[in-house]
Order: sequence, then C-alpha cells, then structure tokens
Amino acid sequence: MFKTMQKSKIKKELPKNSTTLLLGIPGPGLIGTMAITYIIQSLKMDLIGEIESSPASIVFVDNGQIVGPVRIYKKGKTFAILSDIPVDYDNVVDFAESVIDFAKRNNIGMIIFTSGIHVPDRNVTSLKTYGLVTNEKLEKTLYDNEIPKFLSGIISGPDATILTQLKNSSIPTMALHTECNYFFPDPDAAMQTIKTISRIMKIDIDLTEFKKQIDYLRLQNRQLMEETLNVMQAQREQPSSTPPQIYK
Amino acid sequence: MSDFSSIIEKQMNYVFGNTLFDDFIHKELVPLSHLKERHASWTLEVDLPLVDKKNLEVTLAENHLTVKAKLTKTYCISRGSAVTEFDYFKKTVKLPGGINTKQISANFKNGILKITMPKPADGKKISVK
Repeated sequence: MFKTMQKSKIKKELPKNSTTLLLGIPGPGLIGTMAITYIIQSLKMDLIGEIESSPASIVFVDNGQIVGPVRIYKKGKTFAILSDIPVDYDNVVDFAESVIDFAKRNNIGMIIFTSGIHVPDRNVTSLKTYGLVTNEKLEKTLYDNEIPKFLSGIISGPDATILTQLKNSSIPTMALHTECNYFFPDPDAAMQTIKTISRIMKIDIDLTEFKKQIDYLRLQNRQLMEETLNVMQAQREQPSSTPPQIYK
Repeated sequence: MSDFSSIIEKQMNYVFGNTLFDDFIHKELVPLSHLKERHASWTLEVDLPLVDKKNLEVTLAENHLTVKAKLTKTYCISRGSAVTEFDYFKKTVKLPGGINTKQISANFKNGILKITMPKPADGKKISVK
C-alpha cells in the first residue's frame, strides 16, 4: 500500500524545537489507530502533511478535501503520524524510513509507538500497558510513570520491522504495548493507551467522548480490523500468548 | 444469484471488502468472529457490541452455527445521501468436523460471545507397533 514510498511531505515550515512524535498504525485490536485518532481530535491537532505513496491506492475525503491515508498532525511540540490503512510487509520498511526521515528533519526528541499485545480473557477494568525503549534515558520515563517494562516476549509483523528500524535510528523511541483482544477492535485497550500517553506527556485528555463511543468504535472498525488481520496473517503473525513480566 | 448479481458482488467486495458489503446485501450487520483450535476444543468468539444477552440467539443446524442478535439501538451507516439502518447482527459459521455437539457451551461477557465446542473424547483405537 506504500508502493514507491516517497519522502515525507510537509505543507509548511516547522519549528525546530518540536519534541514528541506519536505513531499509530492499524495493528492488534486497532489500538494505535483508535488511540492516536482520539488524541489528535482531543488536542485539536492540525493536519500539516502526509506521507505519500505513489500512486495512492486509496484517498479519503474530509471536509471536502482529499487527504491521503497516512497523515501528519501537529499541535505545539507534539506531532502525530496516523495511518488509516494497514502497513503490509512489502512496504513497511519504506514506511518506517519515511517516519524516521520526518523525525530527523523535525528534530523529534522522542517517538511514542502504540500497539497491543494479545491477552486472552483479559480484565477490561485493569488493563496494563507495557513499555519498551530504545534509549536508556527513557527507562526513567517508564519508571517515573509506573509503566511496567516489556521484559520478554515476541513482537512480530509490521511492529517488529518498524521497531527495528527505529532502534537502528538515533531517535529515542518508546513502544507502548497494551493488553488487548488481538482479533477485535479493542477501544478499552485504546483508552488505556491514551491514559498512559497522557501521563507521559503530562497532558490532560478528557475521555468522556471516547467512553460514549466505545460500542460504536467496535462496530465502525470491523472492516479495518479484518483488513489488518489479513495483512498480519499474511506475515504469519503469531500473537504472544502471555503478557510480559512486570517491571520491578 | 444471477450472473449480474454475482459480478456486482465481486466488484463491491473489491471496493468495500466482505464485511461492509455483506451488511448492505443482507440488511444485517456481520459481526467479526474468530475460530481458534485448542488442545481439546474449538473456540469461536464473536464480537457483538450494542447487544444484550437476552437478545442473543445461537442455533446449531447440522455443521453450521448461526448467531443472531438484536442491537440495543439502531445503527445507521451513511453513504452520500443514503442512510441504511441496521437492527440486527447475523452470522453463520461452518463448524470444523468432529465436534461433540451435545457438549457445546456459550457465554457472553463484555459484548463478546464465546462458544466452546469440545472435540470428541473417544474414538477408534489405533495400535502402536
């Protein structure tokens, strides 16, 4: 879906002191997509650009404007890259390189990547988010925010490729994996992810609207979930069957 | 189904994918489901948001299991100026062979229907040489 991915394209000049980039793509439970979409809406982030694929296989129409499926938003010192389509194996490296290119050109201090980890029979009232960092300095951020560290387990599929690319780049990255239902849209897990991001970034995100929409999010996202699973299954994704050990 | 219907269905499936197209064709929402094989059973999970347990119907006919559920609120999908209303979920799933149908059980929690279908415990003995 990201055939012949080009470099990220920004519509206007960006300030050089921006620090955090939130990254959400369709994955287990659609956590990344739902969480980052809500944060973008809550913070009233501005659409500032797109990561282009050429030729575009799909476009969206929003407010009478044609927009691509992978978009870049900004508010203050926070950027967000959101994909409304699953990133398949053929294009995931190009996608990750585009994200890194964008981050380097905009002096991003930290990337927060959001995803899920399969936990059968999880308790929706006490979901956990586990953190994985590529830079030692971010270990303290996990500790300060009481985020258990992802100590052992397997990450596969697009997440693995993206994390490998980010790890090999010089940009500090924090991956947040929340316990979720891997096969169905999981707004409860997305909400837990939002709470965790809210703590890390010290921003207040009102979840009232999100809570009202939980059932509808599950209904509306059936198609995207199906497409995402098809992509992940094509890559022989195997969900981790056990949650990682708790960070001490 | 006529040839024309068949062609149109193929085209629509290409554009919208199976789930959304099935919604419109049958006027019923098609829930997501996941069938998993376990050591001694098969488990079918069906995602049924906006559903109360009392409005849930599960029927077994030969090797097909059908789940039908009335929504607590009408769900509308808009496409251009057309609005389609949905009041039901419905899905029929072909079951794997060799299930002990008398032992099938189901529970419904947090909008997810979980149907457990045990594999037969006894069978023909095979001698090991």
